[in-house]
Amino acid sequence: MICWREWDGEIVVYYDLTGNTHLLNSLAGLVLRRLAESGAARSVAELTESIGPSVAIEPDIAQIEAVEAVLTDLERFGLAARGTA
Amino acid sequence: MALRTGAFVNVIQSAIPAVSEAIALLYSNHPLVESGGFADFHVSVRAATGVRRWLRRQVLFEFDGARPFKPLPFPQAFPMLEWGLNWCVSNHCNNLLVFHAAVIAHENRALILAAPPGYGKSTLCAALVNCGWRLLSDELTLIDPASGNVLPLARPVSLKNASIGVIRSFAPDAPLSRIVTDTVKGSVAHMRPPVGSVQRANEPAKPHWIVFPRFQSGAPTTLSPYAKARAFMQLADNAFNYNVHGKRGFETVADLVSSSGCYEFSYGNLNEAVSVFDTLAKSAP
Repeated sequence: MICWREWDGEIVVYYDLTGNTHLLNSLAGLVLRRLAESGAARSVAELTESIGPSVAIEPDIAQIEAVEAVLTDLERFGLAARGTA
Repeated sequence: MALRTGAFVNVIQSAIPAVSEAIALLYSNHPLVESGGFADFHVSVRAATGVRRWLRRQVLFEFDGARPFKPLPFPQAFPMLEWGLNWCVSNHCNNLLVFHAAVIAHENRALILAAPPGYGKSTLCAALVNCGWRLLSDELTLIDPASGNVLPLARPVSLKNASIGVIRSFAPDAPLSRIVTDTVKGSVAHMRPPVGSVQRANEPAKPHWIVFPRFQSGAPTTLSPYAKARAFMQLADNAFNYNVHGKRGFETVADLVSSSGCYEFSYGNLNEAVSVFDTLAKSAP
């Protein structure tokens, strides 16, 4: 089970399977929320589109790459898993 | 002797004069409990025996007959008792969330001071309790997960190195123990907790502020809002048993952070620092 709390756009997440707590920035928090809300597998492109322009990302990084990087981090923390296409 | 400190009864045995002198000075307001009843911790501080006592006298701390620490030089007997009593609480009270943080209160609103050693946490705590704030603890913040309240543990305030002189100047009437030099923390002295704080040892306080202080010589006094998510992570890092509590620990720290104003505080002048917190207390709803 994943528990989280959000304050001013930053999210703290607790995952009971690992017992670890993580601090996520606003983009990572939004990605995690979208994943939880969708309840089904989504492509990175769909995920990126669902996030839209609401979260500022450094302009020299394509938004899809930023979401990819967040997914890699979430996967490393055990908070998300990529399925096979 | 059986001594009550907050919610705990400690049976303390020692034949070392420096220990009994310091207890008589620093715990003079704490209630004694009739011996033979239930006690949470049975500890002793005694001189090491064997060849060591001829080479260099040492002192041992025992907890239920076990020795959790290596012996220390004999003059460190009383600091060893204090560190040992802290260890008893931080290692055995998993019904509570235990943080390495000072906590004081103003009208039952608790102010948690969390910082690594050397950041001026105990100095600030000692100054504020000499200016009317209630001491709950200078070392261990105890949160009851069921109520979210802070439980008092008013014991002597540990002062180190330059802060001993600073508090002597700031509060000349505050009773301080003898200075013990060359400990792992440098020179150490303990300040007696105010009698009012000891008398209110059964009154929990509601968390209201969380402050991350830092003393820097010559620094201007600044109190700035601190991001709650970061406050959460710092508090969890400062907890002795956050992981033991699992989801309940997460929820308890999250509620603590949600219900408190979170600040970082930099100071270089103790009088100004006290003034800032008095203003903060007066502005509380």
